Amino acid sequence: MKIFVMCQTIRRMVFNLRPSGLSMSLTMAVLACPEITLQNLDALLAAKKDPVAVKFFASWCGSCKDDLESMRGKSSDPHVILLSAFDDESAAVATLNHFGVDQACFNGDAIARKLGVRHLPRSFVSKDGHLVSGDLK
Amino acid sequence: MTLFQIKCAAALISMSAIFFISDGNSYACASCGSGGDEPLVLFPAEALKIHGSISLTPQLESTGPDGSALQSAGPDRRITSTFAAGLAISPRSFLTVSESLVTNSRIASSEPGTRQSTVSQSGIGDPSVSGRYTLVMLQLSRPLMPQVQILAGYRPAMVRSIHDTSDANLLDVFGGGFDEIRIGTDLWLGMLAVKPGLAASVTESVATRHNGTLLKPGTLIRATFSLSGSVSAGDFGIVAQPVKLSAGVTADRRGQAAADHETVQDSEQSVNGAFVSVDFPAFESDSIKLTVARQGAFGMVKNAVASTNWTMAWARVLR
Repeated sequence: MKIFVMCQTIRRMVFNLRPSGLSMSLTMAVLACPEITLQNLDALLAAKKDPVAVKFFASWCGSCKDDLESMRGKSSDPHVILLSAFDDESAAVATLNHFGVDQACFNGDAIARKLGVRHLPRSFVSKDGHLVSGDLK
Repeated sequence: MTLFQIKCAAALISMSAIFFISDGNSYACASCGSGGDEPLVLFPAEALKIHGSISLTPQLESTGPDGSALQSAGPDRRITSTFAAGLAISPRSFLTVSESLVTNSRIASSEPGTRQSTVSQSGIGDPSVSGRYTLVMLQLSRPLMPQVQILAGYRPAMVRSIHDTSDANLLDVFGGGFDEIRIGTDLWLGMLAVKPGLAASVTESVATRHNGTLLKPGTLIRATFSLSGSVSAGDFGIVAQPVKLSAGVTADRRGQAAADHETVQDSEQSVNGAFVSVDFPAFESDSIKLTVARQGAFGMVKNAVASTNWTMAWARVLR
């Protein structure tokens, strides 16, 4: 019995299993993210009076951990657009669930390529209607 | 078509395909793990990348079956320049091709009272094509799950080898003399602060007739273990990407060779090695890697060449 419990503990640690109900609620919140495309990104940024940070992440990006940890447990921040790029959507959702982040958009590959993103994580901040490399202070 | 023509065609097709196959980004974290055998690694989000390197081996020491140093013919020093290109062919796989220019040098014997001279010869080495596929990808939500990759490679014997050399000092030897097929696997715990990696590969040489004798080198098994970590480069005034430090050990074991289907006694090879490298970004799309590798560390070198190798490599992302 003890061996069975230990194996289950190891299995949960390795595969980071969580109750399915929690995953469903976070998935629904994530899917509510407004559709971000190349075409509407410029208009979206111009419509916001304050600077906006656009942050790219991926489930395989170990260096993205700090950015995701900083967003854990916080309510949706209108000044941050978190974009998953070069990633499987299911893996990105699992990552967001793991960090308790409830705001993100997917399929940011085209936008990332346009901005010349080569490495992750990568952040841009809107300035005078354009995105420049950097982060909100 | 002759066999040589077929090999040339295959090499050319592989190299040109790098630039014409429709691109996709590779999610395979090719920089990960112990992939020290690869001249070029594809980072995630990179679709097409080129690599150039120059490697100096200032001293080559041949050893015999009992590990003792051999006073044999052969170059004393070697400089190898390598060009490689890598292409992501799917989100989980990428292909690389590489070619090298080899310069072999040897100090010529000189008369007493006269200056020593060096004789050199340069030539193209055997090309190679290899690929990797990621079976299990890294995930932040599962930090203890290793990335698992499988790899395969082919190196055709296309240039002069020791079996058809025309130079007494073997300075015109630039290739291995045998087609090689390699398969292997690479495991890497890339979500930890100090990232361990383990790679193992098996290389089989194709039996080839040289000078009327059917020769076949033994099967080569190579294992590599490495540890790597990152430090921030922001304080050094360059792009704020981390500098990657790696160190590791290698073990090569090759079985006995065969001549006309008969085992050649005392022909097995063994050599252990160690390496240290630092990999840092130069600009947004460029990176530079410095490596020092010692073949012949931690124990006896048997029927192999002990050497210290200094390499500087540059890579640029094109897409």
